Amino acid sequence: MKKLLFLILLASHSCFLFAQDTFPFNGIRPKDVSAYALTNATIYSTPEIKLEGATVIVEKGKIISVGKNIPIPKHCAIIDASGKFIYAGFIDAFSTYGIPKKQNDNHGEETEETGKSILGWNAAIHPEYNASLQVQHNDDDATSYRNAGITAVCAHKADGISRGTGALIALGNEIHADVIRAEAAAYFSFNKGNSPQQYPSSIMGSIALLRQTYCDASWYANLKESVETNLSLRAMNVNSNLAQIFEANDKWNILRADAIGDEFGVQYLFKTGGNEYQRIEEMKATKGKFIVPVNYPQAFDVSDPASNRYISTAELKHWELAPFNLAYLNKAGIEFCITSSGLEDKSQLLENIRIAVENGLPANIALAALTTRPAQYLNVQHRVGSILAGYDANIIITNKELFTSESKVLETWVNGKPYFVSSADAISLEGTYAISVLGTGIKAESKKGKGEEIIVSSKLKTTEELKKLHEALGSNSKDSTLVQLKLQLKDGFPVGEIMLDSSAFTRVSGNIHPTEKELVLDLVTFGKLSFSMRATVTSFPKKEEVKKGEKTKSLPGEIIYPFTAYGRTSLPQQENVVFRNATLWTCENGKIQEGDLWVKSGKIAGIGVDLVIPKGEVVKEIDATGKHISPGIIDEHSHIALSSVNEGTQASSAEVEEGSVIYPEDIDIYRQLSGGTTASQLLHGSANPIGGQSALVKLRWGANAEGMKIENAPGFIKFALGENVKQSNWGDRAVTRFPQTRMGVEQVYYDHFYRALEYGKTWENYYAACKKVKKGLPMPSAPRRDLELETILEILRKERFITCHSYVQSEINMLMHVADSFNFKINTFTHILEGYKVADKMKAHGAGASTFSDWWAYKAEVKDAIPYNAAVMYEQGITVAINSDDAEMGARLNQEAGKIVKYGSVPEEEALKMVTLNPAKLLHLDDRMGSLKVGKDADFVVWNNQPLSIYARAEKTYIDGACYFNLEDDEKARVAFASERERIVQKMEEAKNGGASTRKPQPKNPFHFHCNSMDETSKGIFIKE
Amino acid sequence: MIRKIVISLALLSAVAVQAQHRPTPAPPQSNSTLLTNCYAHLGNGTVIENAYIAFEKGVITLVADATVSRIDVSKFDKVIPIEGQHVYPGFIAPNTSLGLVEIDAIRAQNDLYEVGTFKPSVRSVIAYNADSEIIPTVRSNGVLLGQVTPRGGIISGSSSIMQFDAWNWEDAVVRADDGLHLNWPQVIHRHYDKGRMLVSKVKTYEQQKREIELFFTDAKAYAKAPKGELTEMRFEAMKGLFDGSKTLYVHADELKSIHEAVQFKRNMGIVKMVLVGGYDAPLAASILKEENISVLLRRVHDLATLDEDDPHASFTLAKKLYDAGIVFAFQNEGDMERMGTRNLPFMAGTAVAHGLPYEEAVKALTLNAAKILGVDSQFGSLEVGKSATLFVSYGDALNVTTNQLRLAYINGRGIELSNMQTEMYLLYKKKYDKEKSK
Repeated sequence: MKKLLFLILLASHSCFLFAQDTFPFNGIRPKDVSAYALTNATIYSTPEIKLEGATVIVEKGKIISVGKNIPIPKHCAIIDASGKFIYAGFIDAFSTYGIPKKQNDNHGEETEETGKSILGWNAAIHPEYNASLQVQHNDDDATSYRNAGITAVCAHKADGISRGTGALIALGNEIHADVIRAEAAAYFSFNKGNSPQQYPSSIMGSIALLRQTYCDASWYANLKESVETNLSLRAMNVNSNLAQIFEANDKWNILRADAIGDEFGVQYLFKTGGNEYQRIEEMKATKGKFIVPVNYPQAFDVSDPASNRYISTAELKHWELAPFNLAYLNKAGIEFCITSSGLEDKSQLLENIRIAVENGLPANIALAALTTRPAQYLNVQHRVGSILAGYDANIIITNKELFTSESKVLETWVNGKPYFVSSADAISLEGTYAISVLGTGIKAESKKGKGEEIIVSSKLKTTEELKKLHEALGSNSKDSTLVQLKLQLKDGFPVGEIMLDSSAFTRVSGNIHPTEKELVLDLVTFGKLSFSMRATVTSFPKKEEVKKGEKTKSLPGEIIYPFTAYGRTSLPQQENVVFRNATLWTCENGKIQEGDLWVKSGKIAGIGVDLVIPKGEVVKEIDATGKHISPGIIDEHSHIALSSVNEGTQASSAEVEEGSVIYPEDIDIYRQLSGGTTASQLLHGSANPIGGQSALVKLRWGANAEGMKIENAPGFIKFALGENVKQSNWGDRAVTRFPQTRMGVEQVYYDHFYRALEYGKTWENYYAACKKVKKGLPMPSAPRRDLELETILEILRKERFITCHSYVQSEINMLMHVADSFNFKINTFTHILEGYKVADKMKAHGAGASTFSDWWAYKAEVKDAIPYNAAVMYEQGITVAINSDDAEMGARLNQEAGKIVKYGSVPEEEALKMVTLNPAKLLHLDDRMGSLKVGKDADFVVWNNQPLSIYARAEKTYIDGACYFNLEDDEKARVAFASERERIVQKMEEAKNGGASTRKPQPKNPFHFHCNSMDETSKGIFIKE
Repeated sequence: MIRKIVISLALLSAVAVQAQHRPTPAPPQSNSTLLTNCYAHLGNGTVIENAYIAFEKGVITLVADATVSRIDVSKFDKVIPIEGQHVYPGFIAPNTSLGLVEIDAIRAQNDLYEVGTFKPSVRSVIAYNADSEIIPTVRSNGVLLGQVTPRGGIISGSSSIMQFDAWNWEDAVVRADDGLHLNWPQVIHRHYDKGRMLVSKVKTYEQQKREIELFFTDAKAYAKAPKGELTEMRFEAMKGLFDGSKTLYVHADELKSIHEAVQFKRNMGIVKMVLVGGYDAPLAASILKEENISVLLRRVHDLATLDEDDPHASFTLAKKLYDAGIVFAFQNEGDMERMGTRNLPFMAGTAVAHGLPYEEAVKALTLNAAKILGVDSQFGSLEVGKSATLFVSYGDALNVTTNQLRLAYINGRGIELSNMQTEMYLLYKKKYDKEKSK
């Protein structure tokens, strides 16, 4: 038995308290004269340099030297560390250690802050916050970090969007001595946190606010004359030299943050959420470095198959694949460090990394990710993260090679001061016992009892002392007595009982003294008769390794795109294919009976009867006899595939972009493909008169957000009128935000358009002034870039088009007047349920219409809505589209177009155009989409019936000549997913039986947005369209 | 071409009554009427491609196949050639809230949710607004009857079957207080958290179930006891459940809830139970059949519950129940339900697109609905002796492009097919036509 030399240190560590020089000291001021030589150890000086039988010399908190056969100064205490492993202490770049939590009860109530301080206007932006001014030593937290091998953390306040700086501090007991870098990194997130202000209420609002902040900071930095003092902006600029850490926590948020970084020349370090493997190519393209947690998801309790249905496929697969995340990242060549953040119990850190290593992460990379890499990212690589002369003496000592099974941290040293973590070997009570007890002696081998218990038993002659014990315990003594000692370890102490003749017993407790050769147990009984005894245990075997049944390691399932049900292992490929003998609804030149449609390279290559395909083309021929083919359906008004819809906190939110919050994993994308929808305008909601910018997408299921966007699509913005923007149905308390009447709505428009004009003029003046500046003379200060006014100015310059939520005729007229007075056109009135009353005026103005087929009566302003609306507007020569604004209806817009045949006798082909060519026209995409025409995008649907019929089913849906939905594959996919789910459920069951903790199925259903859906900070205000 | 004529005909009749939003309820049938050459969907699953249908004093007196029987046309006061157009029994909208809410957003117009948890004595029939402007737009598409149903709480109240052409609720009522509606507490609970809907098991489920059991136990004891001095209104309303004169409509979608509800029926000795919703009903088909429980199907035009489900799960539900031999009808509870009731025929059409035989879809809209609601002795099929509640459509009434009503009768009374919307259409059409002619 090895001497537990570390225990000595444990006894002495509490006196290592050297207060800072400037502080008064109560008592005799101690002086640091510490000097140690840790010898005969295996030392990883860096992840790449392994020194065996080496020595490290530590003096006054610093590493003096490290290596083999180095001289040991005489004043050093020598600690024999043979058999032990020494590594640099871990560094956690993402921590909230020691930061006081501040609760704000006034969450989201205030509308704006008007110059109450010299900070910025929005409380979610506080780059001036300096964590080093707030951080406080916390013994419990420091201990739990140290026990996990972590010797330094970058502590920051995890609150708000621009969070200020974090402080890198070592986890000793003296915070003054422990500061490695007071301002080590600047932190960011999309989470508005405890800000009492309403804005931003959505993630797209957060994105816009952060972008605006970068614009403002840049303006502030270049100000020639002081117009305002703004310490927040000043701090943004000062902090820009530090590492910029973005808490993204999710693969899509990483991409969203990276887009901001690219725009403003910032390369973020991304704190991730552990699902990066699901989009590894995109992650790599960010060129960022990652801070990755290892908090793998807990297994589900899968005992009830009825409840298992509620575990989503994404959750099942993520449970299986999350422990492979680090290996995937490394394999892709992405550099990362590891954080303990997110682990409920930091002691899980090493075990979880061990699992990652088992799953293919090289051990040296794992070590670098805990030491040298975080040091480098925080620009402290010359001081911490390695065991090199001159570095801080932050080290950990382990019993075995890190990341091997049973490896554990024995001691963590911070600034040369050791902290005990755990003892080297687990003590087993098994062995050969020699016990002297009550005047007699027992010699016996221990046997296993219940659980952890061991039993030593021996039949003894009943001595006088034993008789006394019998009497005390009230049992009858015979000539001989069966004496049984049952023991187990509780918190490192032996406890148990002595039993006589398997009936009477008394409890024992004691101490354990391990030596190299034997264990000595001093036991005392409690009760009527108290006596002590000593047991010497020899030749005890080491605790046997619990043999984990040799599991044949099954490979994890494949990664699918998108990472949810109906995802595929790769995106559909463009086909060179001709459909023969179908009825072609061209929406261009009428219907073609028994026509052929040839598509190639994503475009329509040929159309006609008995089409001749040029020689040399390798074309797949499909007999489509009896089928109908129409252009892909385009939904002019949709809110699917979005992470947020409304930033309705201000009367104008022109600066927010739906394109920044596309959510490609929304199952509604697939569902709509199954109904023939191929493209959508993803619109901002209708909570405010000037909403946000639209995203025009194709429903490319499996693509990422950028991949879904329609290339070079024109810019659109949502406007809204009526009850929603004047908050009529928001409850009796919502009566203060301007506007509350239709009168106010008009004023909002004039105000913003005038301001945008003036804003444009300011920039024109600036450019003119720049031209006049003579060479060598300083340029004038650039005006402040205002993302909101910039967007509104685009409308006035006819570079961005309005889709306006509208119902009653008065406000429709009003908006056309506003537009006329600024000399532009309202592109589209959406909903436009009273369009039939003002169709002539709309026609004169040049506005288009996108309406519902038959919705009405949900609000006072839609009482006069009629299903003949589309027909009347059509007859007046307006470009009319039928839209969904509803996830369910978006999957059967062909039926809705069919209703226009019923209500108003619009010819079928014209009705079909209302969901194909007409929305393409309204979206200025009709040069490439919306009809079957040679050269246009091959977005089309193969139907089993005429497309407007209630009996029509989409059998195939193509986008860009690739088949994104196929009815036959759909059924097959369901079967395949069922068996994939079954496989993982089986694996979970095994994990549970193997002792893994589980949770109850808690599935999530995505929320289906409508126009009026308020996200993130919703207070349950759900009003009808 | 045909359609153009159709529209102008329908509109002409509207013009005749001049711009008044509300059609006038029709007087009782005074003339015997014969419809000739009908493509008749009888509602019981059969079709007569060339049928003669006659009715007098509101009752069907003749349904005959013209190819096999000779009819003396001269015996009828009024003979209307139908020329092969489609004739259907009036469609029935079970579990509807028509007449209880006019405009959703106007609180004053909302008579749908009464306060409380157990309120069986609350009756929809007296709140039914016969003057609702929504109802005429619904019957214009062939929906002529409905089960007007209150919502909210655990027992939301008592529904009644109404016909859609009446001066007041007393005239409208077909069967008052046909049944009580029990919203089975959800075993699985959905709640909104951080932008996502979370689903978990309800902690209070067992307690709620216990309260329901207790309520029914008390009600049953009350029903058996001799009439005492106190009148417990709630239990008076419950009496019919135990002798079969009222139906218990249990609203539940999830498999566990359905199982629990069926067990409850057995334990409590409920005579007649109908399941409303039933997303998971195909999984519980055998016990539903065993207990003779019919289903008022969850809205066809609805999203699938789970991402993993067939994207067309709601469309295919009818076919699955049909295959399992369960009697079902369509209903439309949910978002935009009142104005959307006019789309009930199209929901049936969508079910046909997804495998349900056409005449079975018609049956679900008519005879099966009537059976489930207990009004099949009078309504639901074109049979001699039943009420002449039927309509003629120029085309297939289940298809959006062809549903175009020409005539409709409720109890033999020829009702107006115009509504506030057709009139607004005409008004503005006229305005534009005038502008054009200038």
